[in-house]
Amino acid sequence: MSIHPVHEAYTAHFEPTWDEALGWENARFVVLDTESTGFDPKRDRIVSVGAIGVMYFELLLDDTFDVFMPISHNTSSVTLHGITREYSERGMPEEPALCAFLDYLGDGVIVGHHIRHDVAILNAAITTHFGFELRNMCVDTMDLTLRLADMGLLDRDQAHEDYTLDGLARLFRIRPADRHTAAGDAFITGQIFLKLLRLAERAGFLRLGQLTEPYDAAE
Amino acid sequence: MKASSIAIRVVDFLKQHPPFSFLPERVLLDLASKGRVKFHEGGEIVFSRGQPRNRYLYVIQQGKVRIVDETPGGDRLIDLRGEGDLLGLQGVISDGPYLNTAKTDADTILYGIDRDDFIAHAERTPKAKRYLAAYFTLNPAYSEAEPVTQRDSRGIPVPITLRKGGLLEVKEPHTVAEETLVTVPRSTTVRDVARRLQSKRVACVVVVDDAGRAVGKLTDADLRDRVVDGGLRSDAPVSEVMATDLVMAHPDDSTGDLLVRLTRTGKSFLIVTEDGTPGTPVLGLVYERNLFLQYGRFPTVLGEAIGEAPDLASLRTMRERMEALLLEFLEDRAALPWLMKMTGVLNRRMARRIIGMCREAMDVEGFERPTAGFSWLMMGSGGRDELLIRSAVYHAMVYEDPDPDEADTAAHYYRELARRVGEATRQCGFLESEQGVLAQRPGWCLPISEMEAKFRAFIESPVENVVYTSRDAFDFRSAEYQCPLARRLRRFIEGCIRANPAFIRHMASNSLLNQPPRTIYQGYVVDEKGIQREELAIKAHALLPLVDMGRVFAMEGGALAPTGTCARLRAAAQRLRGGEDEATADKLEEASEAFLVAHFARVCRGLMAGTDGAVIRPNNLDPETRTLLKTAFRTILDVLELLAARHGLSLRA
Repeated sequence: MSIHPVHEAYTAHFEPTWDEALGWENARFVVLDTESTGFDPKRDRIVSVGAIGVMYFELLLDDTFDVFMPISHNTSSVTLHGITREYSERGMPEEPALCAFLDYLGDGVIVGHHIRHDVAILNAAITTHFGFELRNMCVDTMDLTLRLADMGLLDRDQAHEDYTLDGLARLFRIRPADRHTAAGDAFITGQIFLKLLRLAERAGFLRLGQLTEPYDAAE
Repeated sequence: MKASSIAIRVVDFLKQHPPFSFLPERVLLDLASKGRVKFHEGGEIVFSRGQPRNRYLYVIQQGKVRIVDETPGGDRLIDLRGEGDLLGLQGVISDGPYLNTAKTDADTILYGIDRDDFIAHAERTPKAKRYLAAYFTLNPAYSEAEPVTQRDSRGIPVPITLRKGGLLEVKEPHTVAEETLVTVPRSTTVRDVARRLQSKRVACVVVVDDAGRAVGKLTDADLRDRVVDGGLRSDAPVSEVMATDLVMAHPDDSTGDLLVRLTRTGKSFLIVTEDGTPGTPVLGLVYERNLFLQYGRFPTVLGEAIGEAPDLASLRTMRERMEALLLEFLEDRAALPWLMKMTGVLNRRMARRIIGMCREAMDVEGFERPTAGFSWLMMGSGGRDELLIRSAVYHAMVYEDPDPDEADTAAHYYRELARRVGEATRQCGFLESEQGVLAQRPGWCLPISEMEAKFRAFIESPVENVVYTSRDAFDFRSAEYQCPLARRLRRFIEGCIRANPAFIRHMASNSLLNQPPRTIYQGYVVDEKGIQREELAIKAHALLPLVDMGRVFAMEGGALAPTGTCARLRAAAQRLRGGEDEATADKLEEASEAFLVAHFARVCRGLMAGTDGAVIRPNNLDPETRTLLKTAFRTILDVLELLAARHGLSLRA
């Protein structure tokens, strides 16, 4: 079976790519958020993707991605995100949108809050259209926060129990923006990530692999 | 792709704060789309005084930042900035180093906005422009003997400004302040004030009370405005029209303090009083323009001092001052071409002074000056105007062919002079070339016809004469301007090369010997075999190939002048443009930029470390320079390949 050209172009980004065993200060991170019609990757569809690049402790406003995809049916989730069908119809069909996204993403290290959900739903769509799955490394801001909290790196009054994106935004005193759009959430997550990177540096998490490591409560 | 909706979040913030609030939203969106978001924990330094400016202007999105003067006794707070305030716009519109240090007081998020773009937009928006005019003062371009404009990478002229932080005061600021002070009593008529302004050639008079305390001021600009507005009676007392919003300064304030105060208040004048308050008599008037002029004139003053230096010890001190000056003015790469030119002028002046001293000493000792004139040729980086740090000097002495009966005495005199000048140069802190291209060597102190024969031998038999070790001799400039001997030698060499085109191919082949490393990765230099090193031989692996290629391209064009590497590469680019090879022309222009990047890195690190900067640690470079160096390596390699292909040579991996 021949390899899809989109897959081929995607794979080319990884030769060479970042090494988990090396430091992360030169890596390009891509903080992203997707909004979808629901939480089941098999059934639900992507509505929008928003993303912003991070390098050298800086969010790069000239390295952003933002796309809406038309959806065919209204579901309960739509009201949450405030995206009506009419609005999203101005967007881009899923296939070219994913194609543009993959080109933007490259081999960037994906960063997001509960990133596994975003990656799963992206993978479902990418598999449908192009027959492959993402191989980018991923940093979950939730897991990273929990690991840093376990090490005592959050101030005592910061170490409360709300680790939702809203909770973290409050915890880190991030200026609230329009929540519940992919771009808005990606921007908030990006600012949280900048703060986490400082803490990670202090925790001695200097290798890329130490950022991507999942949180294991049993440890 | 439409404008990023993430940038819109930044715009929503910016538009609440002046001067951004004065800019149209599409402009804000354009600015935000190219911006950065940075986070600092409390107690971190955003930038330090003296550090070269980066391209961003910062706006505080959240947090608190202290602007301080770092003194040995601790930080002196200048200002405290919070949400919506600007950072890094202090001072001047040009790209000088930061005037103060900015430290975060709490967790802080900053938006970085491209400074040049912002200023360009603000200049076109009257409200924003007015706001900025109040926020900072324009720094007049340096306008002394040398031309002031330079071009940035896009070919747009940028003003070069010179400032310094007070290391080497020409005059105490308060002395200048006393000289520019003109006071009048309150009852003076406007007509008389106008006369004083004109006759004293000042731009401002200070109005004082009976006790000599300042109560107001009137500038020629105020007067003009009043006249234009109408209703100004020339017999009215000045107290009716004077401005009373005065800013005071203390006589002990340093120039840096005064600059900061002028900048912060947006005033053009500061009134110096006995104790720095309005309650004591006026001592002087600090005048923004004078302050800057005094600064800008500094290189000229140093030049004069070099020309009048009484002995070698003072020349050596001057050279050290030159280095201090360089370190202060080396604000970014854009300043480098100008600095090279200025240092070239000062280096030649220093050579002339050394020669003058040695000749005077020889006169006293009874040496008779030959009738045959001479020229002192500065070669290598000195000849290319690239000698900014303590790297090796190359030089030669050439003199007119003497009459046969004077040949021996002339040779004797000039060898002695060359020996002394070479020795004095060394005593002034210049290192000598490893290859021995030095005037005190008999082979490099020759009458012009023998010097010509020497170069002809190099050109006709480059291999036998090992031209490689003497290639720096092809980049020469006389210590004197418009020297006929140097011009004759240059014409002769150019003619020889035309007659022996194979020589250029030989030089091209020599240029391929030094190659750049592949990249810098995480602070390590990575060579083509993937081996990582902590040190980068920036001279051998980045600068030498560029210098060598510049020389080859100059020879291809048939002219050794200009001698500077950047100028040579650009001249070659221009030659190739318009027909032959646009792609090569583009590459050569990139190579000229690459030279500036590498030379800047070398000179900065070298000056800071007090070495010749031939080997540096990439880890010590700022990330921007590091990234630019990586690009420079690729450019160098590309141009090496180009050069190899032009001459049918192969570039070994």
